[in-house]
Formats: sequence, C-alpha cells, structure tokens
Amino acid sequence: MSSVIEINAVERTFRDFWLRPTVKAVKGVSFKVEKGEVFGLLGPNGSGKSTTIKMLLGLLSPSKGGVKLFGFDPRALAARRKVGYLPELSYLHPFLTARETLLYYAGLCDLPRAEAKKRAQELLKMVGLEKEASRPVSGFSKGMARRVALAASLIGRPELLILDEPTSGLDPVSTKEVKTLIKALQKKGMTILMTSHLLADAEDVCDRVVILNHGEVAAEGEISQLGSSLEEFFLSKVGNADDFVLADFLA
Amino acid sequence: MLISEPLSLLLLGLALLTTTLSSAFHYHQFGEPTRLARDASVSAVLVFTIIFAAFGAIKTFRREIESGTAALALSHAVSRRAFYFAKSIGILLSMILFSSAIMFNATTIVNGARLGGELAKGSGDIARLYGPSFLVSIVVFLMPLVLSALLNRFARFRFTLSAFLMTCAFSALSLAFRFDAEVAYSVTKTCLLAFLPAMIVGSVASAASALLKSNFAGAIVAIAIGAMLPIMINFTRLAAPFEAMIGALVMIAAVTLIGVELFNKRDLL
Repeated sequence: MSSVIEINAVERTFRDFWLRPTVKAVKGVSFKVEKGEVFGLLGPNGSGKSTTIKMLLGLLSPSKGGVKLFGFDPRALAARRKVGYLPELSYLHPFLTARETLLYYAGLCDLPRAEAKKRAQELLKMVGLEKEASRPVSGFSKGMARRVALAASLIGRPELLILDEPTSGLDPVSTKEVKTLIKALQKKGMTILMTSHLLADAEDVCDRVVILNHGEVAAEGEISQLGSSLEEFFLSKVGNADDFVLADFLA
Repeated sequence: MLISEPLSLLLLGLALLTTTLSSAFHYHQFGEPTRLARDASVSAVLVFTIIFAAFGAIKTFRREIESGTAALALSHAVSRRAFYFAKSIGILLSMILFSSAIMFNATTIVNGARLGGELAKGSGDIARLYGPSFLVSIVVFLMPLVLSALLNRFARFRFTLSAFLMTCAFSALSLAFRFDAEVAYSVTKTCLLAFLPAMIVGSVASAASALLKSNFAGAIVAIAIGAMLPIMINFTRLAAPFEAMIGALVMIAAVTLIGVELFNKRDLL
C-alpha cells in the first residue's frame, strides 16, 4: 500500500522575471508519511517548510523530483478531495460570517447542503464559536479567525490534515485544545502533517518528525528516538542558540 | 463577492447620478433632447462599466491571490480552470447587473426626454426633461440607500450588498413608469454596443490580474485596453448588435481561454 505522502528528492528553485535563479528553497528533500501518523515538519524560518507544503498541495510545482499524495499527483482532484489544509495565516473572506465561511468550504468539498449545514454547526460548536456564527469574520480576533480556519479545514472530513503552525495566535487554553483535537483525530484514523515553531507542541503530538535546515533534511526520526529533548536535538542539527536569527525564532 | 464591495455601490451610484443629471443639465439640446439623453446614458454605461470591470477583476483575482484565499480554495478539490472560470463568470455577471441598472435608469430618463419633447411641441416651449421621470430616477438612486440603511439598522442586513441589489431592482421597476417599447429597444441596442467592449475589457483585466504579479501591472493593462475603446466603439456602432455580440463573445472566449491556460501553469505563493 502506498504512503499517504511521498516526497522524493524534491527541489524547488525560485526564479526572477528573467528566469535567473534567485533562491533554492528546497534541496533534495525526501520523506514519507504513513496512514494514521502525526508527522512534524520542523525547521527554522526560511528552511523550506512552507514551500514543501505548497508543493504538497499542488500550489507550487517542484523544479526536480516527485511529490505523491495518496499515490496521485498533488494537482489531481482525487488526491485533494482527501485533504484538509490549515494555512499559517488564517485566510478568510472578510465579508462572510463564520457559518458562511464553513458553508463556502463545504461547497468546495461537494458536501450536500443539508449535510454541510449540520457539519458547520457541529464544527462551530467544537471550536467554541457557536454564538459568533452570524458575525462577519472581519471582526474576529486572530485566535477566533484561527479557530474558524481550523473548522474549515475539517469540514470535508479529510483523510489527511495539513496544519501549518496550528497553534499560532492561540492562547494556552486553545493551544491545549488543539493538541487534544489532533490526538483525537489521529485516534479516528486521520493522518496529520503539521509544521510548528513551538517544539514543545511538536513533542507533545508528533510520532515522527523531519527537521529541515536551509532547504535540506537535517534529521528525520521518531520523537522517542531523538533523545530526551527535541529542543536540544533540534539545536544540535540547525545551529546553536548564539545564532541571533535562531535565538530570535526560539524566543 | 464583488457586489458587496463599497466601491461597487459608489460606482453604481455615480453612474446613475451621471445619467440622470447630465440629461437634466442639457441646456443646449438643439431640438434633440432624446438623442442627447441617450448618448449621455451610453457614455455612462461605457465609462462606468469599464471602471467597474477593471476594479472588479483586480479586486477579485489579485485580492484572492494576495490574501491567500485563492490558495486555500485551490487546496480543495477545485481545479484551477474551474476557479478561473467561476471568478470570470462572477465578474461578467456583476458587470451585467451593474450595466443593466444603468441601462434601465437610462431608459426612464430617455423616455422622460421624449415626453418633455412632446409636451414642448404642443406648447411651443423649449423641450425639457419630463419632471416625473426625473423624480423616478432620483428615487431609484435614493430609496435603496434609505431602505438598506433601515435594514442594516433593524435586521443587520449588509448595507452595501442590499443597497446594490435594491438599486438594480428599483432601476428595473422604473421601466414600468410610462413604458415605451420603442425607447426601450433603442436604449438597449445602443447600451449593448457600449457594454460589449466593456465586457472585453473585463475579460482582459481578469486575465491580467490573475497572471501579473502586481495590481499596478493589472491596472496598466486594463487602462491600456480601455484607451483603445474609442476606436472599438466607433467600429461596433457601425456593426449590427448581433454581429457585434458574436465578435465580442469570440474575443471574450479567446482571452478567457488564454487566461485559464496560463493561470493553470502559474505558481501560487
């Protein structure tokens, strides 16, 4: 049986208007994510995490190498039908209410209207926004918008959930709730790929991680095999804490 | 949604005001009040629909791409072709709604000019705009604003969306005021010839906005095409509406297909 995600020697070079290479964001990255795993894609800023995720979603094409999602090309609708995506920033249409946002994404997932309404109601309750369902999302706080985006990523009952910084902008209680939710979704058989700057979050929920640095895989393995502290292991792979950029990132 | 944008309502309001007031302030009509009112209306349809098309395309495509909502939508089981077509059709439908509202209001005003001319013939007076028609046109502009404000205050309806839709509805209802089929046909035919080049601008602006990486570049392309319009207008006025429509639809289809194929290949950051 094929893996849920299969990334094989993927490279991505960005070019300027004259097609001159400007930056090689991803350099020969390979990893696999198996069904039912919670997989962490970790790395400092600019390490190529978001570029890798965008190639996984078919938004960017790899310059070299191959990406497979459920055995299909990421642009294939059959693959994307099984995917839920929570972007790093909560991209929402400001004129829509929380309920309309969920119904809009339910429509993109081809959910029948009656089921979409029921599902939207369940998810709004789950993320604690039942009472705010009729308010336009432009008036929401960052944390509330994040919860709407999380609900939107789950509306199509995906088999694979891609979470880009899922706890970004959330308070400690909501962060805990998200981590509990990730574990609960895993128990239901969902595969989850998440990126996080917060190593403690990754340590709490991930089964396996890949650490990217300067677009390359610096380390890969099960959390339990990476030593007593993920943070120490991470620092040993991507640099030391005296590095200003990294210290700033960790702060 | 494009018609929820405050600027859409503002443009529609300005277009209706221009149509109504330009007819009312035609002092030197040289005995042709109807033709002058019709020409002013055609100019309003052309100019404001072009601005609306360029603004709509840039808002719809660039904003979706820059804000990341396009990437989020395309991370679902939605093909890029379907996304592009849906957005383009949305822009064209909004343009039809927008220009129809101006056209219906223009029909009322042109009919008012005709009635004023007839009254003047009987009295030997200088032809003026028929007052009740002018009042109907003002009501078409003001009443939706008042009703939408009340709906927003008491029922939390969205002001801009409801005002836009109500303006279109009131504009259509204004046709019932002393309806004249001949005037309606004449205005529709002329406005259609102005609307077709605007639709072409809309599809070019859509493609430019979806493919170019800055609002500025998209706007420049749309304006450059807009600058060519006087030539196109002179051409389309010579043509019969049916032939002009076929020609315009072919051009729109060609531009849309090119846009779709290029959008299908581009990276979304």
